[in-house]
Amino acid sequence: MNERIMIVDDDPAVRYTVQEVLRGANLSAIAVESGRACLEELRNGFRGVILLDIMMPEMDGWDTLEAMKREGLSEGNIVCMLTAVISPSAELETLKDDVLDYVRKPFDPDGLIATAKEYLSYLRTVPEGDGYEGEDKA
Amino acid sequence: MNIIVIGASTGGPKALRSLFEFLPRLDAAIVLVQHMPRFLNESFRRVLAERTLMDVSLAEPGQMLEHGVVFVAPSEFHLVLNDNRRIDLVRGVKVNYVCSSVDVTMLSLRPRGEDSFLGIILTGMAADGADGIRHIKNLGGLTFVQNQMTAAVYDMPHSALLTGAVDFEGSPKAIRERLVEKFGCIQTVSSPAAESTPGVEGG
Repeated sequence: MNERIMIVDDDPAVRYTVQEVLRGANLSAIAVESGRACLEELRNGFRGVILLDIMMPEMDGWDTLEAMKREGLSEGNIVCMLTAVISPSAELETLKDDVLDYVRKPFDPDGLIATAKEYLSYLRTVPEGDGYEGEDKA
Repeated sequence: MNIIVIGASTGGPKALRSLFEFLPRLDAAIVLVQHMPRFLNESFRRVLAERTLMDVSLAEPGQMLEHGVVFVAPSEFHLVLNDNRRIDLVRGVKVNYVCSSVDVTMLSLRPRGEDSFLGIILTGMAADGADGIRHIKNLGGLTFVQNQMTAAVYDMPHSALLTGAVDFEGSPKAIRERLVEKFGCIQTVSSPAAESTPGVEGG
């Protein structure tokens, strides 16, 4: 699998923009429109950096995170929450160990690229058999 | 002994990258608590080790604190300092919804001889570390927090600030400069930073 970044956002404009910004930095990303679609990708084997929108209809970012934990799909993924609000919801408090970063909309493109590269570098150095498989050669 | 305890949560890896960038081998021991998933512990340690001249170790039970070394608390354990020297890892209940908890580590510090303490709270959600900062201040230590401009999530630094026990608020880079000024450096034989050229990140 080449795609090592997944954008989860119900807004097609956000999905398109983030994907294009990352593509400009030679970072390949897949984009899905809902928490359910994110879970489906995870069940199909996606492991990487997940840029997860908080405010989504039906299943928001927190619900998605909790479902990931429940189904054992968290291991091997780095989750960064995306949101327009300045301070995250108190719900994050119980999921602090699972959310490594918090990226505010609107995005600063350079900051977004730096964030993605930063966390891809973490995944590159995860010891084999410790929740992540594969080596990023990008 | 000079003991620095750093606590970080959401947004911490980037703040720590900036704080540790070119950090020399301080004449102090650093205990670092970063909330993160367990599978990232070793890669987190490696990334930090590439930035600083300090040795960076994933803490193990029974290890003794040593100047010039960073001890990273492994996830799913509370790191407790016995007599300010020996590391104990306690698999206990979550404190402030987390394990490892910054408060647990900071609150384990005790007055001892001429030991000096410095507590640092970086970006993160909620209030882990606030009680610890107050404790370190009560022990006569120094206390720093990350400023709002550079923190991905300002809650943890702000909660610490609200205790009234914080001496300095600044960027990770400014905090790094204060650490060097306060503790000075240990002479090192080799210089990894001179061999590679890591990118500089503003802080």
